[in-house]
Amino acid sequence: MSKVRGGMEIFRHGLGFLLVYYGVRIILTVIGLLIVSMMLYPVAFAVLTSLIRGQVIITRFEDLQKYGLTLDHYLSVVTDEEFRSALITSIIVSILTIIVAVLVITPAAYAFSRFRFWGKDTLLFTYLVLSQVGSGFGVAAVIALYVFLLKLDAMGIPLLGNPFILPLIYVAGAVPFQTWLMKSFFDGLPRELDEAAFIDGASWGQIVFKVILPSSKPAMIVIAMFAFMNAWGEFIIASFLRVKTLAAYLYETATGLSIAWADFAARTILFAIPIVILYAIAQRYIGEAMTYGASKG
Amino acid sequence: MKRGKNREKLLQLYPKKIALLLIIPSLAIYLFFMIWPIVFSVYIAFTDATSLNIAPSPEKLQDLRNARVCVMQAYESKEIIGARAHEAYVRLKSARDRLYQIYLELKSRVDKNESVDVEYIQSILDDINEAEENISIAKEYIKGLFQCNTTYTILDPHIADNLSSALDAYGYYVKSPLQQMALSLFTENVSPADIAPVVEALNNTIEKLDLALISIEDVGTDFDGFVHRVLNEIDRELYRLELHFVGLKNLYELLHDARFIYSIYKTLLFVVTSVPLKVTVGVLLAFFFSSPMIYGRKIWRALLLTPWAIPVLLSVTTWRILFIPERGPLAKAFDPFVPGGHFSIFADEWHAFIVYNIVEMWLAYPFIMTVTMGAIAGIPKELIEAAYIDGAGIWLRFRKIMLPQVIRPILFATVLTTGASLQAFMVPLLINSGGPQGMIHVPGLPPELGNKNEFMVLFGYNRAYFDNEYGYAAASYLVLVVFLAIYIFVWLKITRMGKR
Repeated sequence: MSKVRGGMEIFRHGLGFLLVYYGVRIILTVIGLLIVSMMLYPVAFAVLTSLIRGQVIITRFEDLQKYGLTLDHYLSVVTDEEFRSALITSIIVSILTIIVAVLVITPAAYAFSRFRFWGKDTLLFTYLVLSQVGSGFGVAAVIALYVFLLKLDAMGIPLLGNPFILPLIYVAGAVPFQTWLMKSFFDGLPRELDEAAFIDGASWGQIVFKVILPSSKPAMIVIAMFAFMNAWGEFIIASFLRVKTLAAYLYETATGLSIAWADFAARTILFAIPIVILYAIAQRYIGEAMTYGASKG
Repeated sequence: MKRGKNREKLLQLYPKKIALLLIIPSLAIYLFFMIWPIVFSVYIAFTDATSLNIAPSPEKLQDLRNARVCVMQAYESKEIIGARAHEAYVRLKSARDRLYQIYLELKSRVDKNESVDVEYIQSILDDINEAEENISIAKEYIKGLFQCNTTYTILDPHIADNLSSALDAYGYYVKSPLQQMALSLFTENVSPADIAPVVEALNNTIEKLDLALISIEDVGTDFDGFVHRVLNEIDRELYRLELHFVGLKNLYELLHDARFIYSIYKTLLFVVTSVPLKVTVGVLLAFFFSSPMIYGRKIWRALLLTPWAIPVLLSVTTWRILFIPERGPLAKAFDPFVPGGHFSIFADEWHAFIVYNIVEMWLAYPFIMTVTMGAIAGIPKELIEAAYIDGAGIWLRFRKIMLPQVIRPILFATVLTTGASLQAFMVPLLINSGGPQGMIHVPGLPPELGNKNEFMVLFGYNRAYFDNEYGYAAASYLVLVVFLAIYIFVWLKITRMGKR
């Protein structure tokens, strides 16, 4: 549309207008670039800090020349025993979280989308509210949970330091939000699909495995992604329960006034890579999900 | 008729039983790991729960109970206990008498304003050491008065406290100064000014020893009273290990705790400052990058959403490094604005507060921006074109056509992001744990030492994580829930209003 208009304007105003038009476009683009680089500055800073030789905080561009760049910090992180064992814990916890989340949330969301039952609307409304005050409530719940688990632990059930309890807690915390997300996906799937199968006399097993599961694959991938990002990045619950996931390990090393900055940056960047990659792949879904509450209103 | 049939068919196809079956796993996990603990914490909020009494080890409790029973049976071995107490008494008495002699000697010098010669101090050093040894041995005797098979040391608090403080004062203020004087520090005579504090401490020690001696004598004369005191001490320990219902005490204390009131104030202030900041930035960015005049705007937009892609652990800690006082590049950049000092998130509460605002803005603008851009994209092109043809200028087009179309989504997004600010936790935690520490003054309340930027969620977290005061932390979350309830109420009101 702008092109057409631009063309029309040329006839009207001639070459002078053309110059102004492209001049404005270029100036605006340069301003845009400046804004983007300003907003991305912390990211660039983190990457450079992890690459610079020695444990320094870069303040000027000359520092890069003065100290030189190296991959040593990444090497030292990869060979760090603690980092590796935390990585393995994190992988186990994340995979289990994904499995539990998909297994538990998919059927519930399907039920919310298709079935009618008593208390359905109330429950959905509660989920919506809780997913909005989730973070503060989450921390309160974590402390409550910790106290509660302390009690169970004292009774002889080994819960503190047990990585297998984490997936359940993570899925529990994500139930309101992810149920909503998945439910709205199912709402978008045509009802006729499963109803036709019913009418054709398919059994429940057939319907589940032949109709519902194949068609909900994309939604399950989204759930799995969110479950992974949650489990991978969470560190408050993990450190409360003394499970050393990668995030909990990073949090432990993040405190203190003077830490080995470069090593820390390298560690955190390695930790962030899976999430950044996932985000890049699924940007659209994540954007939609993040602004979900606002569009729902 | 037709509708009824339809419903019947629906019920047949989607039986309620199956629905419940499908929902129960998720509901069970949710109830068990989220709702149950929260209900439990509401109960905790009315108790004096700490790390000691929330889950005391059964062995420790049993040990204390055993000790209690054992002390009750002490009457049978009254003579033995008396004999042991006597041994302790003799040791203590000899130490006390020798120290008293030294005290008199030194005091007379001080009174006469005479200096003390080093040789004299060297000559009494052995006695000084022996006295300490005797007191220690007496203490061991006292600890072993009851031959009970428990790991908990059964003590009469009168004797134990006096002996402990006597030993502390003696070791620190009497023994080591005298040793230093005798060794190399003073080659000449020691002036009365230097010896006076030693004399004072010695006097103190002797007073404590006398008190302990009286209590030990009691073991022989007033055995009942002695046993009673010991039992009381055990009961106090037992009490500390038990959870007690304290009613509204936690809430009362919270509302009289300067730290908590200040925390509410800071939280609300943060809402007031951070929400306009992030909404403004997000909306401006959205409008700017919606302009078709910019080359490659799709790429820039995608890049601008980077804060979403990065775990807070990386992004917020990076901001922290950027603001490390005197070293981080951004802290240095802010230095000129601080006359005669440095921009320090670890020293100045408002500097830290500014940084929280910047970081919160950075974390949240993608949300506002995405919502606004979605709304802008939703404006029908024909509307703008029609206005353009009608000769409406940029400002008029913006105000009359674009703004009414986007204001609603922005309002919703603002309400949601207000909730995020109200529950701000990660940012202060990762920037400086809600510091810096200092005396917090709130009008009408006694000042308290605490973190000056502990927002409400962080307040409860720090009470639980660092202070282990679970009851107090849970109570603070009860207050938080009140704030959240008000927020949800407003949120729903605005949502309903918008729908109409």
